[in-house]
Amino acid sequence: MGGAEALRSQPVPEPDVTPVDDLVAQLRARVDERRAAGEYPEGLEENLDLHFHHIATRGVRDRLERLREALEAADAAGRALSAARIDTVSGKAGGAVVHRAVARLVGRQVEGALTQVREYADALAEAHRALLLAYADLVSQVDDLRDRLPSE
Amino acid sequence: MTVHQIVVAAAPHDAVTNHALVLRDALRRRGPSELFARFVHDDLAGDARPLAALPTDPVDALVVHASIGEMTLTEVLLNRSEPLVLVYHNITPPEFFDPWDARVAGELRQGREELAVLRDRVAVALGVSEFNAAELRGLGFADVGVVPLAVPLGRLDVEPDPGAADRLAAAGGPVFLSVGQVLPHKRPDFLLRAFHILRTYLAPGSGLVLAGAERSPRYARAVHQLAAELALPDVWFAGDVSDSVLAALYRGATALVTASEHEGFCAPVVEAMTVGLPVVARRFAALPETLDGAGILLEAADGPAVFAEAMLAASEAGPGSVRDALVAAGQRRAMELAAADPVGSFLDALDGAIGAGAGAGAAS
Repeated sequence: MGGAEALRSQPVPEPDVTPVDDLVAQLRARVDERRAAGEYPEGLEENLDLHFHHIATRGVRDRLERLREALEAADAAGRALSAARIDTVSGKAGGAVVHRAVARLVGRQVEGALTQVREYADALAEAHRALLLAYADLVSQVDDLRDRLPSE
Repeated sequence: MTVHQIVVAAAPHDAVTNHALVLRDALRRRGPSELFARFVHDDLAGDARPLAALPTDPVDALVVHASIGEMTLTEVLLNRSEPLVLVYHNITPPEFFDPWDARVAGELRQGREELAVLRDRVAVALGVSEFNAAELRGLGFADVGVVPLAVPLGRLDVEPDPGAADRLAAAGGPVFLSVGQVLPHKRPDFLLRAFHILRTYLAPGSGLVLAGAERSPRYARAVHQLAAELALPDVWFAGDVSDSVLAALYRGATALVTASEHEGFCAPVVEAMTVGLPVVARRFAALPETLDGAGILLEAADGPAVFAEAMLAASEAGPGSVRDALVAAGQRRAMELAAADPVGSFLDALDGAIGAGAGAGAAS
């Protein structure tokens, strides 16, 4: 008989004190001291976290995330289309008055053009969403296929 | 008295399966008892039978061990008439798996839903820790009892594998052991970060052994990748190890470390305390309860640097050392847990479920 049984049969020493009561606080203090002494590079733990995050999201998922961000930016730009964002300021004397007058004159045409562009942006946003879903589904299928492959 | 047990998956070196096998041996001293499983690993074909082979005739009671969802099993249970004893090993929160494995995350969600479906069918509900029992109460179960996990320590009473023993003996410094599957909630990625700090700044000759099956391929790949990119040559991914290799690892290691954020009990902690290894863990789920002050328990906010410092403290032996005090405290705690008599407590609860009481002993 060996292993656990042999070890279980040994007398158990009585400790003088409970060791863990203040230990965790001491461990934290030691880490703070090492940081203060410059033994650890700045941002050591944060960089380790970030490193694993990058590994976790690397590859197709990483590209999926970049696609998602790019499409969201395009959609946001589409939603921001407005005649009010066409400025009428001018560096020339009386220029702003002229710009505002022209804006009033062609307001109907500008609004009409904007409406068509907004419709196009909405349709494009819908296409983006469909594209993103299809791509996410493909990523999922690729992941599943990879899971079925041997690890090595 | 005939009592059968049911698990979702019967697998070697699995805490739920081990627990059920210990209970089966005790049940067989009282009458016929078999272990049935929806999925049976080839290595356990002699110990567990397929769920489809469960006899249709009613028996005195059925014991179901819950740890994940499996609708087929739940449907079988709903169509049976015997008293049902639920042993809850806990179901990992699916959020841990969402970024890595949508299928497993779905099964975990399903598991919690199935628990609710079974609630009115359960005669006795038991948690293997107070943490688990509290969760069952939260799900609406009444009169939930606590029966600790039966940890079959005898499996370590084998000749240690010489290859594994030699490998640990050849290490140039302390060797830290982690026993548990490489799964997202067990956070081996956190362990690697702590080990990187330990090895780079505190104890250059140290080693880390991760012993456990890799059943979440995408997460396991990321963990391997992290070890490779951090250039940690002294990390040994030992995989699903035999009892003799595990015995060698427990004998040759300096301390048991776990960064796990979800455990219903954590059998390796008990194994480590029993064989005299100090334990470093984090305050999550049932770990504070299982350790009960007999190890270093770090808070959730403590990062890898504090964990590395704890590893160093647990490795330094000598008169009055933290390590020696932790070993002594761990062995006392292991004795307390052994004295809790999980098997006897379970049999008492079972007798209550089938209403046999003392009469059951006379009849068997």
